[in-house]
Amino acid sequence: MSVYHDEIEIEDFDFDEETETYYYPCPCGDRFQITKEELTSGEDAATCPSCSLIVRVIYNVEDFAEYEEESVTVSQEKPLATN
Amino acid sequence: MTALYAWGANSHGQLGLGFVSEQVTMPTRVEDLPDNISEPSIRVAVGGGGHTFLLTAQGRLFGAGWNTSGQVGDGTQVRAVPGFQLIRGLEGHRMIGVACGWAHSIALSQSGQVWVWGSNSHGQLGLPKDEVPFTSLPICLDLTNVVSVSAGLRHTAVATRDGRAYTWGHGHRGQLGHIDSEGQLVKLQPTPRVVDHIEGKVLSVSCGQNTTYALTAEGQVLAWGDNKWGQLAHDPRADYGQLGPSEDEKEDSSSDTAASEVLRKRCRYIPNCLTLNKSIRSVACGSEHNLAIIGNSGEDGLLYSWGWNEHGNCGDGTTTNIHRPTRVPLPGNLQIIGAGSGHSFALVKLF
Repeated sequence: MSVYHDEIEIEDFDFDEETETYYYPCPCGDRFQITKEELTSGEDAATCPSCSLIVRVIYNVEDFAEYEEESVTVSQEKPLATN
Repeated sequence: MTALYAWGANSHGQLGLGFVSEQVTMPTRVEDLPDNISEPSIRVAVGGGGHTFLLTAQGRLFGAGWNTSGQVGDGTQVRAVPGFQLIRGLEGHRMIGVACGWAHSIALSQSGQVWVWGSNSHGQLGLPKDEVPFTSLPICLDLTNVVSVSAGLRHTAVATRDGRAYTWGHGHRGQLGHIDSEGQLVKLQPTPRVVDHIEGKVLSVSCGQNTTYALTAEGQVLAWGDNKWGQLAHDPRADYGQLGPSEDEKEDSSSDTAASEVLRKRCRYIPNCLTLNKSIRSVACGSEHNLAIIGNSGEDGLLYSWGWNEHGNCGDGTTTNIHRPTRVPLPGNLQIIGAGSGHSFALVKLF
């Protein structure tokens, strides 16, 4: 794994509900991306499909674990940033 | 005869060459310009995340590139516009300034009005985002006497003739300079708002991706926003060579211990003089690469580039990062340079 280009907080990512993927602008003109599933599993490196840059996602893995549990029971206010 | 050259990232057709490709590593002439652009009249070439504008001396504006949010402004929402098109909705107005955010755009007319278009996902257009999520046609904002416009990743700033700065859009890093009545950072400002607490008369504004700078009539530069990397310098862990070589490195760069010392020294958070043997006439910055026009007065202008080169951003035909300003051979006399996040432009007078 190469050096992180930057560290970006999850609240700064844009969330696409259809693909359940978080996106953040990459300097090359494409977007860094990481899926909700990857974040839930503890993966914190968002990659860009068009270049070699990688950013580390700053987030609380428990927020995503809770989401998984809640989603199978009753839906509640979710602690997820969606901006 | 004057010619426009383009190179670098082209994944959205932002080079205006008529096609989409991952990248173009050699400066390539933009052949197919619309009939109403004459190359000698081009005054500004500037880009955002994946889109580009050309502004002419007649005040006409042309766009190309990434357009999923309508940021090109040709009235369509096709994914990519690979050739320059006249921006619609500005007829009868003479444009004198243009700026690109990541996926939004702002233009300034001679009469001091501003138009915005593209993505409004973070309020960066200065319009309520639930009413206008994006627009592919320019919308005139309720602002007058504007003299300077600039845009960051997701925020926008302007200066007005009376010396005030207005900002709006995404404010999570303090780049808007607004505090609410409870003393908290304003994280999203949906409409243009005056930046308080500025002493002095603001002449112009300039945005980094999450920062804002204002130049005052008193000759001061005010800066606010993200300071994670001490933004006047760069990220030491992501060194693409964009600062060029330092004097320290030239003096000692041999042993291993010297190498880590050099790395530490590269992590400099204060402005540092980049020394070249010739005069630097102008510079243009991409997200991680730089272009400069070099040449003493009376001589032809030469193109130099350095920094991130993964997409051929520097134009030397390779994709290896360039750690010191390096001449890029171009025919003719270099007139104007411009950059987007990963792409580059040069206007040259051939004879």
